[in-house]
Amino acid sequence: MSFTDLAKTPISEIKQRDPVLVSTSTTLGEIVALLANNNRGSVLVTDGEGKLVGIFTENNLVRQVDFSSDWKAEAVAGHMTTKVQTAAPNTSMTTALLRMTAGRFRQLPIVSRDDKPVGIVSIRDIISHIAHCYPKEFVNLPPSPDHEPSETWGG
Amino acid sequence: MESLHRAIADFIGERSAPTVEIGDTVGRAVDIMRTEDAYCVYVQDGGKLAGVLTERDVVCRILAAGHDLGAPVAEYMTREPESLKANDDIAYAINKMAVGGYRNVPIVDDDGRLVSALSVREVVAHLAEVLSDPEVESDINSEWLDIGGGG
Repeated sequence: MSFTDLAKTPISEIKQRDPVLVSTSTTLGEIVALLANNNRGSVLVTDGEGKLVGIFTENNLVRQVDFSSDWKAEAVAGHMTTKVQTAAPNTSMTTALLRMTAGRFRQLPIVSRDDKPVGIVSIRDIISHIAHCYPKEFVNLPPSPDHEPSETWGG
Repeated sequence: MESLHRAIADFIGERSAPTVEIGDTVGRAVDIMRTEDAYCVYVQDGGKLAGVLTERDVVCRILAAGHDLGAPVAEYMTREPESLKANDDIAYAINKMAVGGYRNVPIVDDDGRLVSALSVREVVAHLAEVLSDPEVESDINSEWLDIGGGG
């Protein structure tokens, strides 16, 4: 694949997992269990119509929650990020990367035209996609830089 | 031209990594994550890198399991994390993030002392810059030609 084609790859073509969806009344205790059991870094919060209204990440949890309180009983609505940056399925990978870099976030929800979540792509998903498009450059490397061959033909 | 291959040193500068000592608590590590805007905290023992505690560890190993933030960080950290050196190519960091799933790679000196850390943020910023640069196409293609092709 050429670099130009890679840069234009629609975000929906990147291998990703289905988002974990919760409602605004889901408690932080329930969300911690969801994150741990699914090995995820975030959940997407939807309203009664299934539209995206927020995102709650492990970053929100670790940085913002007061663990000296009865935090597990609190609803996610009071802790989630409501101004969520999203992408459409046809957003290019480069645009998504630039958006994530500028906003300093690691998870980018993909939404349909009616704001319903259809996917979520993480920084790691994108890095993994790029790396696997260029296996010689990034994947099939010696286990450590110390094992680099000193001559082109080895031996 | 923005080159695909650069030394990790170009990205970390003189910046130090967030650290705690091996005898510190998880709560202390969480405080450091908050004040230093860090995804993880490195654990030092006698000046050497002994482990790493990530946000994911805090969520999955401690909060989800109902453990106390007063517990020693040594109980929950990942011991002897994979590391790189400042003069290594960033391709190795991308490899560790893409294949190993790490979001942070500690950078150590020849004696195993922590000198800095490379986060996925820096790597992504680099990739975004490279992908936005039309000249890189010829750069990477010429590299394939240099090794004699092979399809």
